[in-house]
Formats: sequence, C-alpha cells, structure tokens
Amino acid sequence: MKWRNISASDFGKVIKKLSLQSSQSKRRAPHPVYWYCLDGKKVLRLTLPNLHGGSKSVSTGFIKQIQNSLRLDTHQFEDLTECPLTAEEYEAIIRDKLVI
Amino acid sequence: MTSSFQQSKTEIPRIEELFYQGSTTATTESNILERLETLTNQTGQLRMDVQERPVKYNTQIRDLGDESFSLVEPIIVSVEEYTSEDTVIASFPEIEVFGEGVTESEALTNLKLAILDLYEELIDTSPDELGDLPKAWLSVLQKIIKQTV
Repeated sequence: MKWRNISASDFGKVIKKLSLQSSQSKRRAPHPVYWYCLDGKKVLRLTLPNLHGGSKSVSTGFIKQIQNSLRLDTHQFEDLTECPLTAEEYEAIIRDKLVI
Repeated sequence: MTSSFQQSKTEIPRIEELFYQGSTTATTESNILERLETLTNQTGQLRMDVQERPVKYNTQIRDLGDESFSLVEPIIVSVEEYTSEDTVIASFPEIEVFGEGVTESEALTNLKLAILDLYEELIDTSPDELGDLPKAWLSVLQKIIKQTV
C-alpha cells in the first residue's frame, strides 16, 4: 500500500504547509498534538508521529487516523503529503465540510 | 454449447472458450499461460490486501489510569489490530482520540493518556477559541469524566 511510504518527516512538511499550531498543554501521551485553526478558532486536532522518527514509515493505522482527523479522502491526503494540495485548497475543503 | 458461452461471456474469455475459438495449440497455450499469470498476480494482491486489513473489535475501558480522574461509566472503544505491522490502534471515535501500541494493552494505555490530555487541554482553553467540533468533544468529556481530586 502507498501508506507505507509516508514517513514521520513528511508530516513536518504538512505542519509547515497548513501552519499547524503545536499544542501548548502538558502532555501525558507519547505523540505530539497540533491544531488546525481557522478564523482564530481551533477547529481540527491532529495527533502526529514523533518527527524525530525521521524517514521511518508510519504505521497504516496511525496514518488512517491522521487522514480521518484531516477530513480528507485518500486521494486528497496523498496530494497533501506529496505537495500538490495547497494550504488554500485545504482550507476550502475544511470550510466546505465543517460549520466553523 | 455456443449459446451458453455467449450468455456467460465476459471481457476475459473463459479458459474453455479458448479451445472453441479456432486458435492454434500454441496460441491457446500462450493465452492460458497469460491468464494464469494474471490470476497469480491477482491472488497475490488479494492475499496482501487480506493481510493488511485490520482485525477490528470493540472493548470497554473502566478507568483512565489516573486516580485524579474517574469515568462515570465504562466507555466502549474501538480496537484495530494490524498484525502485518505489529501495531494496534485503540480509539474513541466520538472525540477523535486514539492510542497506538505494539499490544492492545499498550494501545489502551496510550488512549487513556490521550483522552486525559484532550480533556485537560479543552477545559484550559477559552470557549471563544474553540470551534464547534472541539466544543462538542468537551461536552462529551464533561459527561463521562469526573475529577476526583
């Protein structure tokens, strides 16, 4: 499956592209959490793999959870991680799917 | 015989049909080998798909692994075992949190930590900063979690 090719470092690019905000609260769980914000509000919460995982593949189950959190179908998710999907296009998708 | 073939004809000819199409023996053998190769590839792909498909079931959690917090009642969570990758995902879809582990126990422990993290983060955030979805998660969490200390 294509999922096997997505590594932790790929999510570093997603964080930058979508300007995700790191959660500032104290954490017990092992994985970092980021928020996707629109109009000054936190609208989506993403649990991502530890970025120091580098080029190590992220598990299929973990990636499915991230895809669901992002509200993207498989094709859109691949576009996001492989770059064609821009931040503006992603914002349009989310505005269409969520009542902000 | 011919009419039954016509009725069952699909895009890929049945192997028996190859013998009735006036083909030479060599052509027929070549066609059959091609079919066998296609079927072998498809079977291999199917095997991979089945191996990668997670085993899914539900289970209950009765506490959050922290004495300062308790659950008002046990909650049902979803577990997905990806045996080909030695990974288990435990999730509480209603509030979009999950925990990952090598075993079910580890995944459930991480899920409990993730639930507490989400709860504490949401109650520490001004409602004005939360979208509708996080507000709904907080509403669910406030119904199921009781702070004991």
